[in-house]
Parts: sequence; C-alpha cells; structure tokens
Amino acid sequence: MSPIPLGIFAVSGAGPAPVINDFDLLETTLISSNTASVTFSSLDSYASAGYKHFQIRGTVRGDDGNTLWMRLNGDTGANYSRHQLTATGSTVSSSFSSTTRMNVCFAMANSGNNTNVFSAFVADILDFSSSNKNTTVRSLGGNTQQTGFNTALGLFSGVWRNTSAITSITLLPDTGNLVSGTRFSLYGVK
Amino acid sequence: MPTPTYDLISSASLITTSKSLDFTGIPGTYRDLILVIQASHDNANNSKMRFNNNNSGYSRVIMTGTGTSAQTGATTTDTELPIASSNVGDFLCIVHIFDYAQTDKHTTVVARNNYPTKEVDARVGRWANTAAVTQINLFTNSTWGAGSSFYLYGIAG
Repeated sequence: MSPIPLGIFAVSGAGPAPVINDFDLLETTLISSNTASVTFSSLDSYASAGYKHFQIRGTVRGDDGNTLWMRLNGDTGANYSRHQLTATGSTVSSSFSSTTRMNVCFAMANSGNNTNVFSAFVADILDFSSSNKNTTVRSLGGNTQQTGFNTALGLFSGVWRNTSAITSITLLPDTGNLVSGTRFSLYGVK
Repeated sequence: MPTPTYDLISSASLITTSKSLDFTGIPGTYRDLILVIQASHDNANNSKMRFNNNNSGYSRVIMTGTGTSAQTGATTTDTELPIASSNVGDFLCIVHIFDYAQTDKHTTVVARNNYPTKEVDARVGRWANTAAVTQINLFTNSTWGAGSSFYLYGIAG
C-alpha cells in the first residue's frame, strides 16, 4: 500500500520493510469464555533469549469490573505502589496507593457498555529480568462511550517492591471476569 | 516462537505544505497499527483522523497538562477523532490503533501527543463501527509544514 497525498509528498515503504526487528510478538491470549485472570508464565525463558523489556498490548472487557490490575510472580501481598493520573472528560484526578496490585487500564469496558466496546491499553515492563532493581511498569489506557458511561483514561506508574526477576505476569479485573473477545499480546524488546 | 514485528507499512514526508493525507489499502494481516506523526501546524488548528472515510461514530476523552493546569474534555458523537491540539508549531503524535481488522469490536485508539510549545496530552478514542479499518484519513484545518512526516507501522498479535 501507499499513502495518497493531496499535497506533495515523498513516499516510501510500499510494503513491509525487510528489516531485522528487536520488537517481537511472544504470545497472545484471546479469551473465548468468561475468565477470572490471564497469566503469562515461564517468562525467564525470554530473558535467556536476550529480551530486556516487555510490552503488553490489550483490548479488554469485563462482566462487572472497571479496572484492570497486574500482579507479578503471583505475589498477592501489599508489595506494590502505584501513582495514577486519570481524566473523565469533566475531572482530572491523581492518586497514590501502596497496595496489592498495579493498575494498568482504567474505565475497563463492562456490561454497562454497548456491545462491541472494548477498552485498550499499552503497558511497558522494564528490565524484567534484573535482580538488583524493583520492577517498574508504566501504562496508558481507557475507554469512551457515546452515552458518556465509563468514559475515562488513565496514565499509570507502578512498582513491585521486589528485586526478583519476573517469571510470571497476571492480569485480572478488580471484580468479576474478563469476557470473550478480551485479548492480551505480550511482546519482547531486546 | 517469537514473531518479529513493528513493521513499517508505509510512510510519507511532506516536500511542501499540505492539509490531508490518506493511508489506503491497509492490509488486515496485523493486530494493531501504530501511527507516528512528526509535523507542524502553520496556524492554530488541530489535526484529525477518520477511518474508512467515515464521518460518524467517534468519541474521545482527553487529558492535558499545560504547565499551569491539568484539563480534560470529552465528546460522545463526533465526526472525527482529533489527534493533535490546536497550536502553531511542531508536534509529535503517536497513535495506537487496536484490533483494527477485527469485525467483532469497535476500533479503539490510545494516543500520546507532545506539543512542546503548548502542552502534553493523552487521549483515548473509539470509532463505534465494527468494519475492518482499511484506510486512515488524516486532515487538518491548519496546514502541515514541509518536512512533516507520517509513519504507519503494523504490529502482529
């Protein structure tokens, strides 16, 4: 394909460029029935393969909840901290908590949203295999709706106060289940 | 087996000023798209985006920091998605377009915009339509300056 300019452009890239990439799709999970959580596991193998960072991209919908959480290595203790900056279209808010999980997507679509509405997010997990730093995560995501219901976005910063290398990542809603059509893709960056 | 991705699908660079650009014939073989724009406005109007040349069903929420205040706004039934703010000067815009070829979901967009002389913002938008996106129509009521560049990448998923 080529872009169609209505001005005068220099155009390049008439198809995928044959370049060596360092951003690779590692795994994708597509949910087909109600699921309480999704876990990417055995992630130490990706460290052995030379990956330094992860990115998770997703489109999510729950049956009840409205925030998507992340936990690392199955830790459910109060060992996480997070800051968030959120906006609803009428209010901008900021908050901090020391808590049992990190937030990665705000205003997660749920049964109150129209059919076919899914929230979207991009989360980056940096230096996941390091054993001398706490693991930090950043994320941006949200949702909009024609009625204004559940319309918001959030910019999140999280840390797991533990220096262990990451071997698993769990994604789960604050309440209820993730529903059919929810998709999480895990990428590795060298 | 890891799959190399973040593939350049197409790009364009302005030799002279222009007000619109269409990416057409977008293959449905990727999961997400990433649109990167490094451009300039010559007057205080924003840049906008439509899918498949369709002018209905867009909604968005935005969060902005101006240096003196944090602001937000939302629209629910719009004719396009604003992707860069109204201002004169250079801006950088990165737009993530999710599940663009899936016909069981609306197309959702997450974007970050840097306007160094004015503000920084994040925004989320949605096209309430389940059609696969085959073209992206970019336009501005301002004018993009010469040197403005546009890159479209495909992300497997």
